[in-house]
Amino acid sequence: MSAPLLACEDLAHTYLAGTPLASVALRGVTLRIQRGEAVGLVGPTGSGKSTLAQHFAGLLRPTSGRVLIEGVDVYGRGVDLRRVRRRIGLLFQYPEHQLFEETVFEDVAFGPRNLGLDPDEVTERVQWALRLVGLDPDWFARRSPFSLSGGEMRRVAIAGVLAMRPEILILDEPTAGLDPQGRRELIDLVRRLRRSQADLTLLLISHSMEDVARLCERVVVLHRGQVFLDAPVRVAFSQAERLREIGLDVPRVTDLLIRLRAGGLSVRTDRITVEEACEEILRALQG
Amino acid sequence: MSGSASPLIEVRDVSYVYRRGTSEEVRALDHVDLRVQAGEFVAVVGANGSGKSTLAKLLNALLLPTEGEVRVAGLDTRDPANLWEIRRRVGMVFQNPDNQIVATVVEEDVAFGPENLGLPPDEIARRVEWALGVVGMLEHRHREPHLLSGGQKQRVAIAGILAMQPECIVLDEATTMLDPEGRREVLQTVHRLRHEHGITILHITHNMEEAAEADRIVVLAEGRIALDGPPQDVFADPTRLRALRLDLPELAALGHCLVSRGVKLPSLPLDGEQLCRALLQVGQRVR
Repeated sequence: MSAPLLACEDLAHTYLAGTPLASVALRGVTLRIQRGEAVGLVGPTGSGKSTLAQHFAGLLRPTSGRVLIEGVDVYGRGVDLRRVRRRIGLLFQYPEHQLFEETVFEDVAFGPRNLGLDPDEVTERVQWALRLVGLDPDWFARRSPFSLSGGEMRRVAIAGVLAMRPEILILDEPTAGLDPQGRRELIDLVRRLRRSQADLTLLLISHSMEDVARLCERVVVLHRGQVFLDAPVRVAFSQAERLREIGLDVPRVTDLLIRLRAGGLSVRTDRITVEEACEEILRALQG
Repeated sequence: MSGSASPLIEVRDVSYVYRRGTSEEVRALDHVDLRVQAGEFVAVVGANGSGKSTLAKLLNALLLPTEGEVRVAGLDTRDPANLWEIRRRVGMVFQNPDNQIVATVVEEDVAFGPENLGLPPDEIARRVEWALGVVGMLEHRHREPHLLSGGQKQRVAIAGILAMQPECIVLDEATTMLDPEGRREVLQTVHRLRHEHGITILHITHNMEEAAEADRIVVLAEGRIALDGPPQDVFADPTRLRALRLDLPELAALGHCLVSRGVKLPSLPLDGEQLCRALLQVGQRVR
């Protein structure tokens, strides 16, 4: 079997190691992520999710252990970290706070220009990325990012990451602070992206189990810097008790199915969206 | 309480205009009327930019209306002589837990407000202990705030308001940046304040599940009140809600889905227990 696209082996990280303020963020995390997978990374605040993402993105050196891309140690000797970073697009929390250029075009063009692409290619990529996130380049490209709505600004920030054509896309709480419609649009955008680019690998960091249920096939639960659970989404969410132990939730419809089953209605509990749960309950009621 | 009692909060024909008289003038609120009775738990929802935060800031005189008037317990927010009395009565909790704590020890932070009132030390100590007890943070009184979780920090912020013996607490997206456990902690605290201490709650949120826990939901759209009623009524019309960039709570969406497929439910379910009971009854009738 060929090496997974992205992996870490016994990865540990301690902030401010060797000082009285040392705090352990990751303690021995091992994961393998194949090309094209969509993985939800969940866990309580402080469980190590963002620290792990920064290791994958080439931004933080492990205290011990390794991060591997196609089997190559990212932080090994002779590896050009800049080349690694180009393969990975990381969208931070509240990315609209990081917009800075005078026009939407310039903001999205910033990354591709830094890749040293020629101007035509830069323009092409900017237009492609803006269309992908649902912003018409003719209307938006010349506008100031600061004249846009919150949801639009966030999509500009995502376009800036996509214009780098990353193989691995890491989204850190992409729907936080958006209104419900903005949230729906963002979920649809990511689904569209995955359909149009089947080999795109997605890592979604989120507190919203509903978002993870809609976008991911697999979920990795971190707790106190370790992998607490790593399973297909449906399997993970049917273990409500284990997740609640560490303060997490399951999607509300899954929780309902678990209650119904405990109450004697023979429903399956591995249904995680409203539509699936509706079908499952109808099936059980019709016996 | 009789219907004729004068409301704790009275917003009368209020408009608010940002950057008035410039080319970038924005009318954030447009002739809004709102009355909130003492002891109510009101959720305020609406799209990004619908005027929610502007409304919140008008309630304790952080902003003054461009037109119309806001009264708190009869006190006009435009009269500078009322300012401190209004801010004592109406406390605000903001979105980012890291921006609200000023002291380096939890109990000193909670004491900040009462100290400014010039109360005697033993009265301050009594209030701090009481307030930390109410929010369940007494055992953390000697800790440094930066070592607390997001939910704990928000509860300390609430304790700081409680120590002023307020009549109303306004939470301006105070749960947005929290993980599921943090959200639960804050909401449970809010319910307790309301039921055991009669404090009026205004909870501004994008989270429809949280809004469903209020007695009343006010929906803002483009600076006006689009809907105002109990959750049952507000969530009765999914098409209307979507047009307002909002959504149904997951369980209400499931309820609508089941009803549209012929399942007879006594009322629109808003919590899992209620829906579970209703469905188990349907199941028994079928069998």
